[in-house]
Amino acid sequence: MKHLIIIIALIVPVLVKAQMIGAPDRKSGEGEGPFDRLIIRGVTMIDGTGGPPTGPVDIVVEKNKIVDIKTVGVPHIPIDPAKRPQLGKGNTKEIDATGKYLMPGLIDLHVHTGGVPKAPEAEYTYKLWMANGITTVRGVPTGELEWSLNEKARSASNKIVAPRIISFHRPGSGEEWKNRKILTPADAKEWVQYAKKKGVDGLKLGSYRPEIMKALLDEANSLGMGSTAHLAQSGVAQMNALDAARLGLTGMTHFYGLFESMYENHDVQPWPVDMNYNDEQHRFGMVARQWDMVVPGGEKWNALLEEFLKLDYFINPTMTIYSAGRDVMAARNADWHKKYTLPTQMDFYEPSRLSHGAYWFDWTTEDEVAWKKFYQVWMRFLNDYKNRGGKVTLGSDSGFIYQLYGFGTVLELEMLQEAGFHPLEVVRAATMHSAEEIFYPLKKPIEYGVIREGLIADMIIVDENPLQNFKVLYGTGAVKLNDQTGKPERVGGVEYTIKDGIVYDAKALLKDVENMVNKQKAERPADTKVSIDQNKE
Amino acid sequence: MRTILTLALCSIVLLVSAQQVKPAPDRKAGEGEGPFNRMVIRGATLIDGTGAPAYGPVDIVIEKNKIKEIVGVGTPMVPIDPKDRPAKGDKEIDASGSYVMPGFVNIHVHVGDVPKAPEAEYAYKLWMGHGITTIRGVPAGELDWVESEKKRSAENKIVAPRIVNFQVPGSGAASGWKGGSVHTPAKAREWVAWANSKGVDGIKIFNLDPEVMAAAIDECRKRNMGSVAHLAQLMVGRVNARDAAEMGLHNLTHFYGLFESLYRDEDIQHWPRNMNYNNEQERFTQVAYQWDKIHPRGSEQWNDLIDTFLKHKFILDPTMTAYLAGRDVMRERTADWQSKYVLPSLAEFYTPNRLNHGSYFYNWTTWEEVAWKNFYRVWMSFLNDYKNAGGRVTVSDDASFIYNLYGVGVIEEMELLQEAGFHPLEVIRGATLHAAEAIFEPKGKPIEFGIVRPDLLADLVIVDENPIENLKVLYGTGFPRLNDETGKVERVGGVKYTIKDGIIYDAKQLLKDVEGMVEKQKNGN
Repeated sequence: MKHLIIIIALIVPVLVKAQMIGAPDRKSGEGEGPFDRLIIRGVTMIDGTGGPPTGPVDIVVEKNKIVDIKTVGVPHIPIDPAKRPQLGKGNTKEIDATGKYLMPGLIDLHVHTGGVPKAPEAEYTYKLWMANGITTVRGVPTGELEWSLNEKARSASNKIVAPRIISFHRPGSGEEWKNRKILTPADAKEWVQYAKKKGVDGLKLGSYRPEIMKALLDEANSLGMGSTAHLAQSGVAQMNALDAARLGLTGMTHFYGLFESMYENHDVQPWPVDMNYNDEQHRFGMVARQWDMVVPGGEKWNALLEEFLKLDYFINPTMTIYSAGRDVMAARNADWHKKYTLPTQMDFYEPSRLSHGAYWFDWTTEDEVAWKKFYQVWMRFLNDYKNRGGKVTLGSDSGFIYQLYGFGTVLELEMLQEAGFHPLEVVRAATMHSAEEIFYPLKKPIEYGVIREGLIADMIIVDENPLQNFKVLYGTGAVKLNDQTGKPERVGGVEYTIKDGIVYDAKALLKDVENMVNKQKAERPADTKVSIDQNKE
Repeated sequence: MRTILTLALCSIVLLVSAQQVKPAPDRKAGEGEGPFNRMVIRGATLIDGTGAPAYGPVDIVIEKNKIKEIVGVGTPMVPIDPKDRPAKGDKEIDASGSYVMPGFVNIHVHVGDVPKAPEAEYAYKLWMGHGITTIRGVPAGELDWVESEKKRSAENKIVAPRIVNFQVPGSGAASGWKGGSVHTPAKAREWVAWANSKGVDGIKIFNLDPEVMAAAIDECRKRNMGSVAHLAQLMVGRVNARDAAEMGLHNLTHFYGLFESLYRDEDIQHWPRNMNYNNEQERFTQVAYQWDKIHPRGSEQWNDLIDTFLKHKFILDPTMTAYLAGRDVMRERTADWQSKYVLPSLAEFYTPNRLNHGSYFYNWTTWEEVAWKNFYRVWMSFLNDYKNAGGRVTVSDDASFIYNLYGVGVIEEMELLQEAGFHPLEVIRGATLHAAEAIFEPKGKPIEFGIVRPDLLADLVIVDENPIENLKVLYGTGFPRLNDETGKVERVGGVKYTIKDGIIYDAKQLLKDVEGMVEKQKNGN
């Protein structure tokens, strides 16, 4: 997404740069800890590796590290207190999580923070992420280079309420490169070195021409930086997903270049003659029309899976971000918009030729049907890849196309399940495998992403079983009939998001978001148009 | 739907008969114009319902309630020569740039219930507002009540689609049936004969013993009555869709019995051990879990079933729309039309509740939705294969359960058929010609409506957008489209006129009336 790069590069860079408001300093009362010793008691643990849930366990955290995971009993038998780990003295805390579920924090590998005018304050986005259980985001990018590195450092030292930030950037970004362009492989290498020096973690790539792509990736890999690519339609004819994998790309994001790597009867996509890439309905409409240009289970399909596997290629699909394409009314009316979507963000989503991802100019039954078909084929590929041992990871790209920060990430979990992943495979994708996509290029073992002694304490606690229903992770909760009262209720919603050993009340974070939304609504001039006909009562 | 037949028979029958849905009020002055001695619809593009491509401009001449002639009056982009046009009528409709189709024939409906939708006017106007000119009640309500409404509609005393009256064997106690429940072939024949004498057009089967069902169908066929079955899970172990087709059943509605005809490794569905049919979440969840239990698409068994259906001229009336919330309940719950057109009493009925039929979202998780997505995929592929083999698949809504609204559901069903692989022209044929055949074939008569052709009844829909390009333009809520002049989104489309029996109804006004009823109930409570 957000790859109006061309447009952005030409028209809006100043705007994007100048108008992103960093999160305010973390106030007292926002998050508790870290503690000398924190014990989460009696919880059922989903460890993120694919192992089945196990419990009751007591999980001991010291400062920001998990130091002990102790099985303290079996279901239906009272726990013997004598066998439980002791809290000790000092700055300690206990959380009674009996009957609750704990899993690693979600790692969202494809995010942007927003910006003026749609979501000017990073606090809004950060809190939506944290409230929906996300403890690490990979910005591709979160914002302008210097700004994002500053926010990353502030998050690392817990000066702000925010997930960990991994900072990926597009080649050519950065103050010192303002007036330069990458014209040669040498320029490409120079920029990568520059970025590394600045503290950038990795590269967000487009579909560059082969020699530039090669130079960027060679340099990134030799410096231990990661890379992900949105292989835009504008360049995919000379750089598809397989080409990029062979050049050493860590992983692809979205679907761009995937179908193009296994066309049965084409090389370049047979675009309609009036195709114009800058008409976003064309652009996104034509994506879906690839669904029957490949043969699931065919020779090219299987060969591609095999080669991706051999190259340790990560696939970060972000299915959620295009989901409105198969049912735009559903996405527009989603439960969370009323309460948690800023009016400015809602405005941005509304059909417009200028806003990226607002391509509902004339989005018909046929367009939606094409997207439904496209998803079926795409999902099958992802599931086949997972079944062969490939790593499919979590990404959302929210802030466009009616997808809201945090909520879109949970929707991705649901869509992975739809693709055929068992919920445990989904959780593994969202935690351990996503952590691996971060650490693999660094040639380091993961530091979080699994509930294991020695790893960083990034985890979430929810009072419902997410394996039974991923909807319980939405901030708006899941609808469940209460048989005592005969009335449906909302249950779930993440209760605690623990990042770096600090315990955040996820529902309080959501309240903060709600207040921000209400504030903007109140401050808007009365005659401001709010959305087509949504946010109506 | 409405399979709580067991329940219905045991407990709700009293309730239903004690609190009849209020019949529609007499048609007021200003509600509908015509019929006219001569009416001409000018310059329209015609989708005739047969599957033929759209063509126009045409002038359509209607005399009283019949289509008199359809005259091609030019070609696109060239001004029409007035000399070649049919003579002026008492009423003229300028339909240049608009599309004309046959009125839609909705062959699976219920009119309502007290308290959820207590007035027939509400459902009728939602239907007419969405271009539906004929409904087949399965049943629409109590026998005599329906006969009365059917007659009033036929005489155009009320604003309502034509009504075809199907009833459940054994029902009708309030209408004079004294024979009790139907448990023997003889009783079945007796009931059918009685129903026939009352004017009933056909039977709706939920759950009958095989020999009783066979007798009922046979008696129907002798008397030129139709038959449709919802093969409830309680009986499907004995009669599946193949058995039913071989028995002579005319139409299968929903999916019940279809998957069961194709099981790979089981005969009776291998229910989970704690299955209880009266727990509706289990009941509807288990439907979806059939998706991978069958002989796959294209297998010998799959193709053989299609052949069997074809041989028996079996019509499939899937009502996919009825179950749509199962694959995305939030979508249906928040759909655009809910706030404007759904009565508070109906909204309340939809809300998860163990007592209300179809309100089974007690704990409806990602699992259930994924299972239903898979189920739809397989079900749709069967429907598409059947259509491609020459089978007929019709359109209907079965509304007022499961967040599904009258009229709107028909349009959703059309979208779902397109998703299944039907070209919009095939979809429209399913909603018009084929559905009309479902009504007239059992009668042994040629169709009287369902396509736009001289001598047929003037049941038509006019819309100012092209439904082939986008079926969404048929929704009463319209279709949001960007206007590049203003840069703003506008809602376009929505049926403009629904013509039934030569009488022109302003479809938007009908929907306004519905909106008024919703408002009134909101303010009243």
